[in-house]
Amino acid sequence: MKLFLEKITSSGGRVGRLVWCTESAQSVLETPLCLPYTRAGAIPHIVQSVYQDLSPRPTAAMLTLPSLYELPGSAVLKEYDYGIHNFLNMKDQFLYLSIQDPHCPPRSGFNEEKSTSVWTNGGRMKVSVAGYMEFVRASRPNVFESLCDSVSSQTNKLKRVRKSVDRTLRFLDQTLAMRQNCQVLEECGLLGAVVGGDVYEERVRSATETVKRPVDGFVIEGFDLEHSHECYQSILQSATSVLPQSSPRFIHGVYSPGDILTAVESGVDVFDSACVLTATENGCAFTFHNSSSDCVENRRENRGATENIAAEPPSHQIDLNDEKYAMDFSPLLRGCECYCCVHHTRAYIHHLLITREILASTLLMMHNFTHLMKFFASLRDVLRSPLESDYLHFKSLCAFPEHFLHA
Amino acid sequence: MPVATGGAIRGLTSGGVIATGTRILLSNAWHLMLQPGDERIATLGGLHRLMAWDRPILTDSGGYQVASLENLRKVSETGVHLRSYRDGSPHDLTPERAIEIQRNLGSDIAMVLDECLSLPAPPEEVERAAARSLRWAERSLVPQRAPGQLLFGIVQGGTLADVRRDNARALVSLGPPGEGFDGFGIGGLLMGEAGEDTRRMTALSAEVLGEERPRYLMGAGLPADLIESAGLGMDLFDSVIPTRLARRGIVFTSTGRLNVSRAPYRDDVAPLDEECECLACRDYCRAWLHHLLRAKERIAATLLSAHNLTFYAGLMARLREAIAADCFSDFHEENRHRWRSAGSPG
Repeated sequence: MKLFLEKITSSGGRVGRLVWCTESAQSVLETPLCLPYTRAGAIPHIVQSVYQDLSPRPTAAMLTLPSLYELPGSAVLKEYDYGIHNFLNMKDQFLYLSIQDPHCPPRSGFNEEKSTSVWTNGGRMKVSVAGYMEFVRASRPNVFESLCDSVSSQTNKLKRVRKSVDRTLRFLDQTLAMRQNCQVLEECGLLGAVVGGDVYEERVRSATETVKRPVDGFVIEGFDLEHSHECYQSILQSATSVLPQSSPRFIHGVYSPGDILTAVESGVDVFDSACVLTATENGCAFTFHNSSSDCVENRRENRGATENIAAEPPSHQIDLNDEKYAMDFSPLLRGCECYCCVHHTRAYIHHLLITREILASTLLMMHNFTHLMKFFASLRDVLRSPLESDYLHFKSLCAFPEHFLHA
Repeated sequence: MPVATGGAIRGLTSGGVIATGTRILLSNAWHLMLQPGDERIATLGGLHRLMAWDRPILTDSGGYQVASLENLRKVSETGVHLRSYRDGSPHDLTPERAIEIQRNLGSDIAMVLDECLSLPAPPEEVERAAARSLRWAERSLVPQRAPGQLLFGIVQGGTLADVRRDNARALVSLGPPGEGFDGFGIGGLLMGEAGEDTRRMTALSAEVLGEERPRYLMGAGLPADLIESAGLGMDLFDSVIPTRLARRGIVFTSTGRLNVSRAPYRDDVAPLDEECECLACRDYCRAWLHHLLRAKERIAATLLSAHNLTFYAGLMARLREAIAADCFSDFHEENRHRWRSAGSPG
């Protein structure tokens, strides 16, 4: 896996291409990139035959260890011996394996000197470097995150934060040692985890030390919805400013459009789509701005056109549980071309939610996924534009306050 | 016909349902009347528009559903007075109202409102309910239906041969010639009675109902029930079995019936059924489905439902071929025990 940067904008955002090789071909993913979040190897609520109705059709995914470590687990995958790509029928896709599940962050206080804990369906399991490497060897993802001890931003104790940095580096060194002797592991890309909570010095130390190791990229750990905006950017930048330009930077747990843009400006390249699941499970449909084709003239025209229809104030999302949608026969979002907006109405989704039909989740996932992917495509467009004003205009339209995911 | 109670099947989009080979769905008029409301659906343009399903839909009037709500309903000659299970509001479901609801929904085939009894019931009750159902059926022919909508009458009479025979005869002759019912449901069976009784009543009903109009055995069923009943002259069936059993991990395959949530499938990387081309067998292995089910991922129910619906559609196609080629009895002999569960009687 290699990152080719096309451009670094004056705002700090990078646009580029992640190139990776399969046996048969070379494939390209454009950055800033949003990887489809999966659980138990599947995009939640979406069966694979529906992938053709998603836009774009998924060619990459983020696998989450907690939902795969117990089942299928190393034993089944080892016996199967064709790797996780074949097991999950995702043969030519780019698969990235993360240690934790960003949709369901782990409880703190359960990591130890020699292991990190993940919560599987069967309960807590301790993951040591050896156990994890066995899983990676059996599954052979394209790239995997190094085992890490990540503390949430709410952990203030310096001693605990220091320990997390030390442990993570030790895990990384053990991983590198095991990888050195194993060709299968060497063929998988390795991402070093940059931890350090909210402590600047520790963030810098973690980043600086990780850079000294031969890794293929970095995951900036420890950010989640609880972060307040003020220190989020500065802490993030304290880490990313130390990392080599040409290395891809991954992040989890960053989901509001405003936070995504802040991360992009801080030099992050790869995100995940777990927020799509959160919105869906709340019965919400994304409506935040995601189009790059709006310029000032367009907006004026659109405003004139929509004044004839009931004017809707801009919002991040709408909650389809609300009774007011019971007779609303318009699509989830006018102008959206996703399967749900083309075939169904707000009234139908509201009905499905009331009757607790799982089709509500399927249709909302289709909309929210398409919406978020379009946001990233538009983001790449405006970053590529020679006019910085395009990016700033886009940013002004979609930056929203925090807590946007709490309906 | 698989059952799409509230207008949806187990997380499958319309395209997904069509891919299973399913050609017609059943929806419940009564559930839809309570939520979202038949008039709302009419405003939108009908049930087909709501579901984005442009193939046939049959709606059940609600007679069976209200029978199970003993505390919430009161039956009289006018109809059924009942309370919504959603918000307790009172509703009057009369034969006329049932036709009106189904007109608003715009289904292709509507069913009359009938009085269903839970078995066992004393013979005089069965006879009384059958007579009332007949009077309700006659009232159902009067109100206007949606353009092109067909209406089926329903034969009642429990397991009492004479009552059922008389009921069927009367039903067949209702309405002016050529304007009576377009088909008949055989109701009041598969409610816990002995298999032998089901067979006798089915055969009897078929005999009386005549050859020209379709016969719909309501609530059938397991694969064995379908094969047997087809042999007795039934044309249409509906069942929640393919989707309900799928939720528990039970699937029907070309070699038999299995429960993929059981331990042996934990590391079985074969597809559910080597001969099946459904969206579950094409893209997922047993071990992964086992895991998805155990992890309570919703797509497990969707995938296994899709498989079972594909199986049922395929079974019915093979059944039709066997009948057309005049080798039904061989087909019956070969397959009548194939999909029984371990504990079910022969």
